[in-house]
Amino acid sequence: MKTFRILLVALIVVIVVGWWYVTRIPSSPFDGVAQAPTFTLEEGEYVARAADCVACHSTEDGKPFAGGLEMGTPLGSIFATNITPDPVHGIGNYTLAQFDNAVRRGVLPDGTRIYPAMPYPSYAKLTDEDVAKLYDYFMHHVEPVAEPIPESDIPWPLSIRWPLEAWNVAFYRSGTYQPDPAQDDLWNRGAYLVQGAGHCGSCHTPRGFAIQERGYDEGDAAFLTGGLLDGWYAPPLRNGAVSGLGNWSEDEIAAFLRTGRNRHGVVFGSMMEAFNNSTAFMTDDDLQGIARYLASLPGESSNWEYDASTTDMLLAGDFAEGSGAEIYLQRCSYCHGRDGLGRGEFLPPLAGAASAVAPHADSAINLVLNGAGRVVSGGVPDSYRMPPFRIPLNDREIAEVLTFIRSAWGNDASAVTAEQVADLRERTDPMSDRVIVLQMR
Amino acid sequence: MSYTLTINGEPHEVDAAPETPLLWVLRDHLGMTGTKYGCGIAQCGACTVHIDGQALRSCNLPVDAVAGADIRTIEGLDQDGEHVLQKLWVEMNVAQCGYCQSGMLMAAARLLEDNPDPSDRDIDLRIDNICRCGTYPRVREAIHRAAEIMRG
Amino acid sequence: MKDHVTNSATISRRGFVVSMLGAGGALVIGSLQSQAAEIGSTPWEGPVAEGAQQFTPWIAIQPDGKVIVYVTHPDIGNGPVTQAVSYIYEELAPRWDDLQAEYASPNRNYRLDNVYSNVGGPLAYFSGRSTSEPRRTAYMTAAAGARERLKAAAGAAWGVDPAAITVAEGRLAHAESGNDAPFTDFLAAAAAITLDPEPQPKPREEWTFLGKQAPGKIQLPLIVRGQATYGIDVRLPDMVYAALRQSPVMGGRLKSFDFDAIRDMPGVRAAVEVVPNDPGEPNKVEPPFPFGMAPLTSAVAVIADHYWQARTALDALPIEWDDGPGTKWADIEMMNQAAMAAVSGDEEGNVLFSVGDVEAELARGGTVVEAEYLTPYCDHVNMEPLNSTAIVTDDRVEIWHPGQHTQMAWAMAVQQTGVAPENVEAHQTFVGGGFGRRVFSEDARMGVAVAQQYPGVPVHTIWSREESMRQGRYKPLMAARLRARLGDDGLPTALHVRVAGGPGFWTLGVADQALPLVIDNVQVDAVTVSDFHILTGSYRGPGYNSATFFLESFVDEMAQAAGQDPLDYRIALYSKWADEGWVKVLEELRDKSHWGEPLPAGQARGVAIGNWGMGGRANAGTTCGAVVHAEVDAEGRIRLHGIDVAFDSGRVMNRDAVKAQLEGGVIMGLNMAMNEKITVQNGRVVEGNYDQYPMLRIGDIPDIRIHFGGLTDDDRYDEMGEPPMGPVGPALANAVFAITGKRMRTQPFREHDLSWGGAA
Repeated sequence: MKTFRILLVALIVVIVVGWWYVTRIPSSPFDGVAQAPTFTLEEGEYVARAADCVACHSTEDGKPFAGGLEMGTPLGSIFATNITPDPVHGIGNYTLAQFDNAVRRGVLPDGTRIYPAMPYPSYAKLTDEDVAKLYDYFMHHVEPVAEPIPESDIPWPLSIRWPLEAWNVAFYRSGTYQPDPAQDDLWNRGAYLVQGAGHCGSCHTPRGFAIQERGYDEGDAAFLTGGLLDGWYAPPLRNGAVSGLGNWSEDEIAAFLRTGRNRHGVVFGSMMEAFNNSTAFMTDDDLQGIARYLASLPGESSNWEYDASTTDMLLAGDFAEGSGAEIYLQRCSYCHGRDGLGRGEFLPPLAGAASAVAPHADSAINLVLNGAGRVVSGGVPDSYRMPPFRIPLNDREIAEVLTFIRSAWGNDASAVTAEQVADLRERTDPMSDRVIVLQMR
Repeated sequence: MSYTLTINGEPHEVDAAPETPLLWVLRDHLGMTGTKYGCGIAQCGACTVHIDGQALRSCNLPVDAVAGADIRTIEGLDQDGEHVLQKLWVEMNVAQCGYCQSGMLMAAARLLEDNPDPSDRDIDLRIDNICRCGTYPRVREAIHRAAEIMRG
Repeated sequence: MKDHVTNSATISRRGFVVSMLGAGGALVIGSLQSQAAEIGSTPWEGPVAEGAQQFTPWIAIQPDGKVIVYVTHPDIGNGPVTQAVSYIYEELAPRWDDLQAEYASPNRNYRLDNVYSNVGGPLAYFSGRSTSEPRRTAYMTAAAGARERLKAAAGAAWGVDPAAITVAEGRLAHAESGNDAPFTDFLAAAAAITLDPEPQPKPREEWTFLGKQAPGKIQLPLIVRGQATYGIDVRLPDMVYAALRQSPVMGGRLKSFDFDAIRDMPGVRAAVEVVPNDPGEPNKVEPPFPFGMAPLTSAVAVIADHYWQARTALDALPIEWDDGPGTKWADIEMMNQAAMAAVSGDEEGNVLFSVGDVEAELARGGTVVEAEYLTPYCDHVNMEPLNSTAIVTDDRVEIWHPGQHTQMAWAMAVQQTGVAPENVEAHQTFVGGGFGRRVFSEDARMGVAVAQQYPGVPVHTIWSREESMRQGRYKPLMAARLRARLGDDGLPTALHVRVAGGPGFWTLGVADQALPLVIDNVQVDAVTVSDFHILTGSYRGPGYNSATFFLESFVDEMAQAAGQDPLDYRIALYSKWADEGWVKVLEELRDKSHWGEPLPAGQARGVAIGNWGMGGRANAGTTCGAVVHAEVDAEGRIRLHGIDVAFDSGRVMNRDAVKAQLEGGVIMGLNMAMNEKITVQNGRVVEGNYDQYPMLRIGDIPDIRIHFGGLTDDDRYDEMGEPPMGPVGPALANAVFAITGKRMRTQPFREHDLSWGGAA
């Protein structure tokens, strides 16, 4: 009986403490700060750009930061929130500390846990000052929008949020970015941006069983080794392998982030959005820092070498009717060249290109099916877009031509099947009810 | 940016943004309107020119990428219309509206330079220009005839 | 001697002439502006060199021996200009190489009391049938008048009987006296001669050239050198370029744009708004087609030094639109369903044709066949994107336009600006494909409207490929429901056809075909789905290009229900029709296509027939039939082995031109049926370029065999562009059915899953 009482008390204590724990409001360095510091528009906007808040908290046709973007989870759809300063539908009533808890700790003012679709595990690394700048920007420089977002369709009890704290216990690491004294300032600035605001790992780091990122900094072997998300494969951002940034110089990495292109490739897919909304607005120093940091990450080595025999075969017409080579010659070679080398910065190469040798062909399939959007540099959309081949080419033909490209000019990547193409064709068709919606970025 | 382009063997100075497609440099900056705009995305072939001996689509070639290249346009095929293809095109009443035919001729000329005896399949592969009027049967026939004449 | 092109770099405002030399005669296309005229003085008087004799407004013989022929109808690739000079050649017998053609000025036409448009009425300046009798008579009468005046003048000079003088190769000769001199010796004397009566054109029996020889198009030498000046090639001093964007949802209006965002971009001069209001002036001219067929749309245009700059800046320009009610159409499937609901509902619609008692006959029982069909919006995708060039000042307007109806473009310029008609000129340029897209000339009006906002300099407005495709005047989306009762012989005793489409859809070729006319109990009616916002227009064989698919697929379904051979069934059916051409065409097809001969498994032939232009009459229009020999593999891929075409236009004038038109029409008809579809999402047209709008290429084209054995020698030279647009699609669908047992009742065929057991 006594034992039972002890157990009962202990259970109650556990429940009470547990409930307190999973709903507690974490402490913030801004607790008790009555007067939040103010900054210029540009200072706050810069952090918001670097963090690419707009990518998820806006829809294509909606007002900036009014939320509403649908994100798919295995349980159902959730919608990015309205983060304009509207007091009812937005975050107008947030204190700086409450804002900080949402951004860096994933906790709303009432203790509700935020789904980790919001990259707060990355934003955790933001400095206090950058958080304060962001707060000032959203409070004072963003137009309030009095529009609600759609309700999530995740059914109860799956919609209960407190179990997310268990996810936090397992995967969330608190603490702002700590500079590595062994590295120079540029490297540290780059590391801060990549791990923190830039949340590059959201796409470029593979995810584990609980869709957590398998690493949040260079100390984790899986960090930035490439990830598969939303019908795209985000390539490794580590040095070494040709499927990563192996043959990109620091200057080329910086140029890619500054202008959306370099002689190795052009931004496309989610990276095009990240470029259009984020990196295009960053300073040269910051981009150089990112380049320095990424170039320092060790990767697998590669022995890719250009093989001209493919070009000779194409020139000689020495291939079968309906083969991938034939389709390449007719549909692709006008821009990418019979030598697979593209032309300058505007028409990217396929020989030895990361996109053509990736272990997963998803990005390449997606790109061929749906084409590329327009890269906006300096406010001006460019005009060298990849056209969609959804209509002109069938599944077999797309599989054939990609298999060809992935094995041409020294490329050595796996074959693509018509089934893979058929699957992405359906999931990326805006008319389909199985269409991919954003998961986590 | 200032560029010196070699077109039909002659140097031409142009001042254009680096990303300006060669098509518009030819048409607007240099007044060489024989090369036509059809789609702007390298699909239709109306803008086909020769770049260093390859038949390419000038609408998708930034001028910056062809500075220093040997560029040949319809105006340089034969000014007097004496190229065997031009003569056959007239004799066989190939063109209808004619808009796509500059590109068609440039693609055909390059094909015959690479392959003096093209099969039907070679033609299918290399002449994938779009013609809305439907001159394809005559284009094919004229290329075969030209190949015969050129072989002597 | 005008033996070279004088366009682009060498032109000046003085005497702008776009001219060209053809093999066999030079064709000059362009203005009739005087070489000496300044813009702002009195331009547009004849270009005829001093001393030239202008016998009529149709031809002029110059002192250098050139014979200028004034042509009203633009050549869109179908050869009407060559046909016009052929008429002159037949009567006047100049040197072929001396023949030149110039487009006749609509301004001059207006000032000279409709001297040109009196021949041919509203279609005078239309690139339609160049072989029509009024046109032929006008040209040949003029040429005969010129010839007889020259003969009279020479006879007087030589003191011989003019009747004994012969003409050939631009020379007059009198065999007996040995006199022999060129036309040019007698120009002045001939001009003073009055003939009473005027000579009549040669009767057909005496023709030595027309119908016997088949000259190629005289503009080909310019085309193959890249020297033909299309509308998009017009280059004028001080010209600026405009890139255009109209409301992405048709019927929407511009709300605002932010010019400051692009103000500093290279070359940018202005961004202007086109407001689709009525200019407010009363109509000063009567247009050949009602102005309402080409309404102005809400648009914004960016003007820059070069087109690329204008277009890049337009892409960067923030624009807000008020979309209007069109957004209610979330996708094309909604529109398809609305059209299908209209044909399967009870609303009777507008009765186009009725005879007997259809419902009573259908109710009699026996074999009743029923089917529903659907054809989508299709764009013309002319290879030359839409464009025009215009200079507008307070009291003058001049436009250069690659149109199909020069007079319509001219009337548009008058209407849009309110400028006095005598001060407005429209110059016809080469045209990069017509197909009906460029008839009503709203693109000319748009060019003038843009230039109005940037007056005083030539403004060259280009619709990008995307703009051209998304702002089409499409072949209408049409649904049809057909019901028939078959008699004991398998032939129909009753037929009900109901078609539906959006406002202004075309019903040509539905009720006026042979099928409704050979059945005792028939009703054909049409329902309009009034809230479709997508604008439609004439697309090569308008109405007919869908109607033949409905009717001739259905005839195949009736033959199948009757258990009869599709070709024999048609011969039985159409032998009841008063025009023997239908059966003659079918018999020609049967013989030439090897109909009925066995084919390997997985292959079959399909047949279809229609008539463009008959309008319910026998011995009218052009009857055209096709047999398609197709193969379908187990996966459902179609491969074409050959297409046989036979036709009856009565007679043919230029055999090779006819063949070219039929070949091209077969290919366009195939592409339409197999590939083309414009769709809508939230009211906006989705497809913008060839990547979304696939086109057949050279490797897709089978052997196309044109047979002349269907001609009845009836006294007419009927049209050739439209006829093949009807039968090719249904013939293919009928062949596919014969192979796979699958009926394709909707276009485009590429959307059908045709996989089947395969040939094994």
